[in-house]
Amino acid sequence: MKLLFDGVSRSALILLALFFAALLLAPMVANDYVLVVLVTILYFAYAGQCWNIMMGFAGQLSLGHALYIGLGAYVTAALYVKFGISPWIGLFPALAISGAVGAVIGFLAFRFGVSGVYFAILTIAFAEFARIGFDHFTWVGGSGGFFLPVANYTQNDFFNLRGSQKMFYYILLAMTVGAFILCHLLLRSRAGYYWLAIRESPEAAEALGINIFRYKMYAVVLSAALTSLGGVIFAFFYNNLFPEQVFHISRSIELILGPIIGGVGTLFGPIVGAFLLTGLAESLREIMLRLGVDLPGVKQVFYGICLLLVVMFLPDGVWPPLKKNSALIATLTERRADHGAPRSQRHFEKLQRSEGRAERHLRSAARKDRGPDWPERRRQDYMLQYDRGCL
Amino acid sequence: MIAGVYKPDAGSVTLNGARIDGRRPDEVCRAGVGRTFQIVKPFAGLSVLDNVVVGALNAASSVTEARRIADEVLETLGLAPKRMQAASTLTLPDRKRLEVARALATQPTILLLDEVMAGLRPTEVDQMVRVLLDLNKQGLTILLIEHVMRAVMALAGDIVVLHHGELISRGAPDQIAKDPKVLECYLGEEAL
Repeated sequence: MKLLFDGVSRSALILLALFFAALLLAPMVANDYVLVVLVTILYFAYAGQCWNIMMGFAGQLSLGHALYIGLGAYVTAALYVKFGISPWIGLFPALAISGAVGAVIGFLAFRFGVSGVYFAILTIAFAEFARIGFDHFTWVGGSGGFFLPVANYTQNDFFNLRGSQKMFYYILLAMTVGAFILCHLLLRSRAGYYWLAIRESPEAAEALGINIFRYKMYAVVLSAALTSLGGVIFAFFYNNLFPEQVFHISRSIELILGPIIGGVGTLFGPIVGAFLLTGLAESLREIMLRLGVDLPGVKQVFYGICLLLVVMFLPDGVWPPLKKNSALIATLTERRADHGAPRSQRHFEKLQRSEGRAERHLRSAARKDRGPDWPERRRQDYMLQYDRGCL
Repeated sequence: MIAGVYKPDAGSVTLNGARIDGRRPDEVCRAGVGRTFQIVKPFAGLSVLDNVVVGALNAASSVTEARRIADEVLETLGLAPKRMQAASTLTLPDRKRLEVARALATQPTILLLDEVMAGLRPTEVDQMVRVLLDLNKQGLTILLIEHVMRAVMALAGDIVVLHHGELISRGAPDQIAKDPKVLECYLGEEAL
């Protein structure tokens, strides 16, 4: 508990609590459509948070996270439909399988020094393997799809994850909050420090005694396993799984847009990004619907425009400048310092600014007070100018 | 090679009697060898304090303890007032100091310093020399690669002079300063 709240300011806590309360109460006022949008937002916030562990913290770019979503979805759905095993039990094999697949990818890449873009390509390749593999995996329907039985449930069957959207909303809310708190704690742990060090400079990290192979593996396995939990919800919420959709690269990209637009490597980035992106895209769809315009693919174009704008104007994402400009939230990550030292990066910049102002003031004062030697200095300046012919 | 980045073709590296050659850089560090990089490699996005905390975690059992060690090290090296700044905002001399701070925080038994004085002003060199002398007195062995003579002469007990990878002289500072071979390659033949 101490670790959780240490260094987090009271105003930030209040703000967070208010935000959480609003999310808790949202289903009371939201209609079915808005609820589905909120479920989608939370799903992307959760998955984005999981991806962020790998990319934002440890600096390993994965473009194949749909693989883990799909594995989680297929494993729990198959266990439920074929053997009647509750998803709450089925999620353990799902976690294990996703973690193991993540470990295989990580091992192959990190053991043989594959990094950067090549690592990203490797992750895409594995997601594509899975897509084609599941296309021909007839036990779970192959390319024809795999369906969960749908019926109108009069009451929520929490144990079998069958029920209303409200139930899914609250489960996803709990998962998102859980992932947020986990990431917050991770960042303050040894692993968190090591991941950031590896992200910033692997050579320096290694020279400081960090086993970079092991810590990169931790990040990949943890990220993969947590992402598969998102897949479990995906399967039981949508009730149908097609390899062409679930494992497709567009799914992976969709999943990482949130954290990229919100801010890679930040705690709030994935959440802010998911709210912005999904919220705006759905509003856009609604507006188009009202206007009677039917343009397929408008959402993808919209995502593209958002990404372009963010890359051009806010390369660190939406969240960092938000945090910087809001005095309330800025205190969240601020740590205490003493003897007049800057309290934070922001405070440091402020100090620098004020120093600049003082200097300008001195300089302008010096201009006004020219001193008794002014005419002589003017004469020398004049002499030194080449085109006056004095040299 | 000592730090484990390159594997030796022949010979061995031992630390307190145990062989450390052929081991990975992180294993060498955990064995007690701290190193700095000639071309500084700060964790640019992290604060100065967090940079040193990463180093301190090598020996510390918890993050709280690592933070305490990091604070002490920053105090020793005069970086304490800048601990909350991002490492990317530091000037070069401060980055060099940060390199030393990070390596020192791993609590090594031998510290490898690669040109940490290059680019520092004479007063800054003297300050760094004082810090290193203090550490040396506390029992830390320092292997210094340096061409700032002011620092070498003030610090070293045993100097090895290499020219094109060949050993040309070895001895105490005052001996080295008189060695004709050293003078020849530093000042040129005409100077003699």
